[in-house]
Amino acid sequence: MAFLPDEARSLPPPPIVNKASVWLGLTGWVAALLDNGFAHRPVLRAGVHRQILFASVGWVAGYFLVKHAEYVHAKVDRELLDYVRRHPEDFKEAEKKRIGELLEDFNPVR
Amino acid sequence: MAAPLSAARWLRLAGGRPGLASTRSVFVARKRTYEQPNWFGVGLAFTTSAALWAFLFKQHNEDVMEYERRKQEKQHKCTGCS
Repeated sequence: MAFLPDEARSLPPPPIVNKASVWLGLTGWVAALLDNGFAHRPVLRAGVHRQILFASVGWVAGYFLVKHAEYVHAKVDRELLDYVRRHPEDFKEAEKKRIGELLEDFNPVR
Repeated sequence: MAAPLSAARWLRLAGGRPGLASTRSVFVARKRTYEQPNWFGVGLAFTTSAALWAFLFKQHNEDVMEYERRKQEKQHKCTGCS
């Protein structure tokens, strides 16, 4: 079973810079900083190769996560709208009341 | 109480203290020195990062191409050759 079914490729792919990528990239970077902290190394200046690697792994993971999530959401939306289309009697639009019917009659008291 | 204790002591000594028989081992434990950077690790990390980014850009471009292609196909199919 592939990562996503073929029909997922009909969806617009997420941009390279997307929310999950940014967040997971940041998480990876902070994990590298934490590793520096635990190993008594200078937090920001040490292990730059490690920081870049962890951030990159997070970024790539975020991209695929967003792709998967968008597919799941699209599938749910498709099934929901299909149901609505097949059962129009359950989803009738309420009759729009005109403003004249809503207000009470005006009886001036002079 | 005393019997198992002395039995354990006999077993321990019967194994031979390290000084009694010379043992050889391939494995040597060395203390790590952090004077030199671990160049192999650094190279591996940078190479892996570059490979990951290359894979991401390639995958994204392929996805975009496939999406555009399917969009064109769907339009062509729906509207027909007008």
